[in-house]
Order: sequence, then structure tokens, then C-alpha cells
Amino acid sequence: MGSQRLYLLAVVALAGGSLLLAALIILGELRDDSALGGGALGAILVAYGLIVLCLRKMGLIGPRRAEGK
Amino acid sequence: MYRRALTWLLRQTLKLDVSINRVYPTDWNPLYYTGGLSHFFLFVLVISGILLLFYYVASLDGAYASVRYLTEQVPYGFILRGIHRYAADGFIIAVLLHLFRNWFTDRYLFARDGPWISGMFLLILGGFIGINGYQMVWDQRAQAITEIFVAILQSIPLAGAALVRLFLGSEGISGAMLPRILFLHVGTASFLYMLLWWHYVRIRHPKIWPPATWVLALLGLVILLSALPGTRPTAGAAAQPGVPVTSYPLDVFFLLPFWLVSYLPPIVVGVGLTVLLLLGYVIPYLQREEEPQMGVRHAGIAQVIDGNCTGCELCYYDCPYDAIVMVPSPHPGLTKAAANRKLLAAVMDSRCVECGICIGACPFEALELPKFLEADLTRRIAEAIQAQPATA
Repeated sequence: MGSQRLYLLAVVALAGGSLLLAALIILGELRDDSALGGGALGAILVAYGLIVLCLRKMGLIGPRRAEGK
Repeated sequence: MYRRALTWLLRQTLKLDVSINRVYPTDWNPLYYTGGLSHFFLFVLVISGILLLFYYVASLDGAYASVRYLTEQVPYGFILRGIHRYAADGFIIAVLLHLFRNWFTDRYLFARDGPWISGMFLLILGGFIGINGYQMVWDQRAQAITEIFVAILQSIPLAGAALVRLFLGSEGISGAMLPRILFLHVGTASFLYMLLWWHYVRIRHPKIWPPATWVLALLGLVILLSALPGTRPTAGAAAQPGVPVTSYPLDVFFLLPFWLVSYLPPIVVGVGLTVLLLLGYVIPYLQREEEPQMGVRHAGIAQVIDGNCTGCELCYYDCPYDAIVMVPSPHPGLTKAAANRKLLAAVMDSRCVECGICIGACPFEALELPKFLEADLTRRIAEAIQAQPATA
């Protein structure tokens, strides 16, 4: 249960960070700053990858859903 | 000595697997997907390469200007270049991991020599395409590596000049060079997919795509590296044929041989590389001697017991060597389970490695290794048990 809570916290933190990165993508577009927008896009994809990993570790997705229980 | 080194490397590889499996779910261990990761990076390379082609001008006057325009004027242009560049690095890293992993875990013996040989071609052509890619930019680095490439080729006795004409279209740097390099870059990349077909054709369950977490994370990493100030691709100084290049940034994944030329004669680097690559091709044939297992050296090609086969396809799916095919059954089987079969298993002799996996897969006792029958195995086990001294 402890690790489940840890993964849940990680997902929430990564989702919050992704929201911030999405705002940076918009800001990059508004400022015509490709580096900011592109960097935020790359970082958000990394965050999504980690979210998927956390969900998998929690047993919510993937072929072995019971693994996390 | 070689065999002992391989055994040690196998143990270290398996230890590494165990360590990574503590962090990642076992079916998401990236080391189980080195082939899929290579394929993923190749896919990214093809897509980004097609987009880059829209801007590239293949001429001595236009190439550098077009790359500079893309990098500095086109929105997200430098990121597109970065994706192509870092995906190429990722491709080589994944291919090398794939090569070493399969080498250390003995996945190149017997019927798997085909994937090994095609994999070596993929590695060599991948490296060649990468070098071509650096030439296409036609900056000072491109000029330097082209001059070194010409020097290495010219150091080859008899064929050197012809090879230079083949790869550059003339005796040296000329207007005919960049269109030819573009063709070699794109044409050879297309040829990689034909080699991939050869690479996959004999593998029953190839993992050709990594799990979503790796796709997202690695694509993100490639884009991130393309955008960060320290790793962002920039337009260097334009090439000036005739003016010697004193230094250029080095990509260790593709340009290491060119760095070696600074310390060794071109002929030594050329011969060394050739010998190294040829050694790569002979690896599957270095340890052909077989160790008898339970006193049996050759178990014989697996044979289907026609009367028992139900056509269930379990052996067909389980054979890792693609040695079993299902054919329309010419007549019903003899047993009750086989009476209404539609298909019949058939073993392709040239592909069977006598491993016995199909026998384990078959619940109907419809396969056998002719020199290693189940009855013999049971008898041997019974004899071995009887031969053991009684314990309290």
C-alpha cells in the first residue's frame, strides 16, 4: 500500500509538472521561442513516459494488472 | 578462453537484467527491447529525414545555406535537425546494445546466424549512412571527414581511386559529390528496410517496438536534447575546400574512425576497421563444436507423428526457429482428438535445430526427436536415479 501511495504521488506530481510544461509550450509559441516550446514539448513527453511507468507499477495498466496488488 | 569469457559476460548480462527488473516491470525491461528500440529510432530517423528533405539543397553552393536557413530561420527547424541527429545516436547505441546482448547470451548460433549476419549489415550500413549525414551539412566538419574518407579510400591499393569515384562521383570534392551523397544517404536508408525483412523473417516473435513508456520518454529526450542550449544543433562554419580544417566537433558514435586518423595512418585505420567488421561476421561460426547433453550429440530433426497431430498450431507458435509450418491435412488423424483436424504440422528440415521445444509444446505426443525419444529419456532418468547412492 505504501508503494501504491508513492506511485500515486509521483503521478500527481508529474501530471502537475506536465500542466506547467504545457503552459510553457503555449508561452513559447506566444514569444515565438522555438527553444522554449520545443524543450517543454520534449520534457512533457518524458513526463508522460514516467506517468505510464508509474501506472504500470501500480498495476493499473499493462498485461499483469494484478501485479501491483 | 573465448568460451570462458563469454560465460562470464553471460552471467554479468543476466545480473544486469535482474537489477533492471527490480526497477522496471520485467516485460518493460529496456534490455529486452534493444531490437525494438533500434527500430523505433530508425522510424524517427525516417520521418524526420523526410521532413528535412523538404529544405535540403544538394549542391556545394546550396547545401550549407539550406541547412543554415533551416536551423536559424525555420520555426522548430533546429529541433527537427536535432531529432534526426540524436535519433541517429540512439539508433547506434541501441544497435550496439542489441549486438552485444545477443552475442553474450548466445542468440546467434545455429539457425540464428541469419539474423546475426543481416544485423551486421544493418550496423555497417547504419554507420555509413550516419557519416553521409554529416557530409551532407557541408560545413567544416563535413569537409574534414570527406577529406579523411578520401584519404582512407585512396590508401587502398588498386581499388582506391575507383572507390573514390564511386562514393563521390569524381576524383575528389566536386559538384557531383553532394547529390551522390544524398542518394547514398536516402537510398541506403531505404535498403535498411529490406535488410530488416531478412533480419526478422526467421524470428518467430520479434519485438519490433518498445513499450509506450520508452517510446514517450526517448522521443521526449531526443526533442529535449535538440532544444537545450548546450546540445542544440548549430550551423558551424561553411566548408572551404582547399583550406585545411584544424578542428571540428566529434560525434563518437559515427566519427571515431576519423578521429583515429589523427594518430594512425589511414591505411591502418581502414584495415583495422575491415578486420573488426569481418570478425563480427564470423562470430556465429567460432564455436560450432557441440557439447553432448545427457550423452546425446544429435537428437535428430523433429518429426511429426501423423496420426496424433490435431493441427492445433501450438508447436507452430512455439518454435523460435520458424521451422514448423501448418499445411492442409491430407487425411484425418488416427486418434479421437486428431480425427477432425484441418491442418497438419510439418517440420522444415533446414530450419530445425533439434532443440525439442516443439515436443514440450505439443500436448498430444505428436512430435518426437527420433534419436532422443521420450521412452529413452525416461529410461535414462530412471537409470540415473538408480545409479545415485542411497541417502538417509
